[in-house]
Amino acid sequence: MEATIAAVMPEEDLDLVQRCRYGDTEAFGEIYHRYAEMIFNLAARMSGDRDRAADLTQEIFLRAFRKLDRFRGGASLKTWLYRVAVNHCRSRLGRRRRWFSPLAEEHGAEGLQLVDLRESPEESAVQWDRRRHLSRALATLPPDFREAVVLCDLQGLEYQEIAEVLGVRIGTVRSRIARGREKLRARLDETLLETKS
Amino acid sequence: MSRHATAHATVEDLSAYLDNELEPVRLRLVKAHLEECDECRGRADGLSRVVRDLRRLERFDPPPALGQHFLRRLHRSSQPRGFLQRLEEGLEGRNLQSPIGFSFALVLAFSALLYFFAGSMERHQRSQTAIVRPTLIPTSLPSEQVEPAEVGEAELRKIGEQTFLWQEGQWRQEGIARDASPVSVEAASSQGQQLLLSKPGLALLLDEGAAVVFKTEEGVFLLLPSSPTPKAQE
Repeated sequence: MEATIAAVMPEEDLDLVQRCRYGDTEAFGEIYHRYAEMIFNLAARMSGDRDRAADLTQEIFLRAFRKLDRFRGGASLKTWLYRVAVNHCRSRLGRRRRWFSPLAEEHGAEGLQLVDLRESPEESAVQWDRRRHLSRALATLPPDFREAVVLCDLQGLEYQEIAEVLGVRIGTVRSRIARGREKLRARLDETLLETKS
Repeated sequence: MSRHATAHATVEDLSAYLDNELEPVRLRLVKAHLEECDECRGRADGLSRVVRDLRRLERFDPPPALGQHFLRRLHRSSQPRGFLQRLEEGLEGRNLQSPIGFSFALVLAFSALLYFFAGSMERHQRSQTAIVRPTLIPTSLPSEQVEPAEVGEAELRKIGEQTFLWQEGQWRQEGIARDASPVSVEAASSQGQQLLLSKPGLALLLDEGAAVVFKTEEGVFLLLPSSPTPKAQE
């Protein structure tokens, strides 16, 4: 089993997991610091609420800590944590997996925002507005599509990794991502038309 | 993408093409098709803009205190846990933590408890009524002489081997035909005394103040008590 773990996990993760299994909570603290930002962003996109995302993040890591002895190393630690996170968000948020409060980017007040310096101020404003609409459209996607799109385009996972996280076939991942993006494109076009009219 | 390069590409193909997740053969077909089809190129551009904007959505930083808070919880969690904590962990993520769901579960459990309790009380009461009232048996009697028979709710007495049933205001020995015409005998009379001597258990029934119909080898008799019959007046 350890040979399997070593094959798919970075050396540092392997070492941390082994230390956790011997009851070293400091090692799990390191795992937390390494992956907290990733899990927090996923939870924020799934719940649509940053305060809720903070609670979810803690719960997800506690759950992972308790289940670590069941981690067999068939996937990387990152993929396994994503799987724990997605399952936890599904069960905690239930069928109500959509945003009810605007995230920070809709206010433009907090958080990091990537700005393309080649854009003029007008272009930047248009792009900003477009992303704001996109963020809202993402909130209205069916949960299955949203999970796939968030994992692919916001978290940067490959199709194979997403399939492992969601526990579905790679063809299903491809279909969910494509249909999710297509719905987003259609909604953005509708919004653009409404704004012009 | 369908079977040949001239067919329009599917949205799955276009999306996977943008992610470089197409197999080599299909990738060549989609590429070739996009070079000659304006419509599919327009759709691919639309999807590409969505992907670009999604990737530029902001990343959030976890609140600075979250790490410290989590580590405290982690240390608490790694201590030996009691029953309530394990129960809480078991319920975690099952939506039972919502007040409505939890209240509903409580009401359901309480109703089930009440139902079973009421049912068992009713069964207990039924079993009580199936027993002949022991107050009608004189406490001074030897139990082997007179004992209540456990047959339904009918009132019976057993005297030795014989069973007497309470019918129409008198004790009647089991097995005597309804149309039998018994010979009436006063208990106080000499014949009555002789009958009582031959069947001493009958005196116990007579003491309750009721007449007794019984049979001997000599025939069927109706033994009348000397005092009024309070039981017969019930």
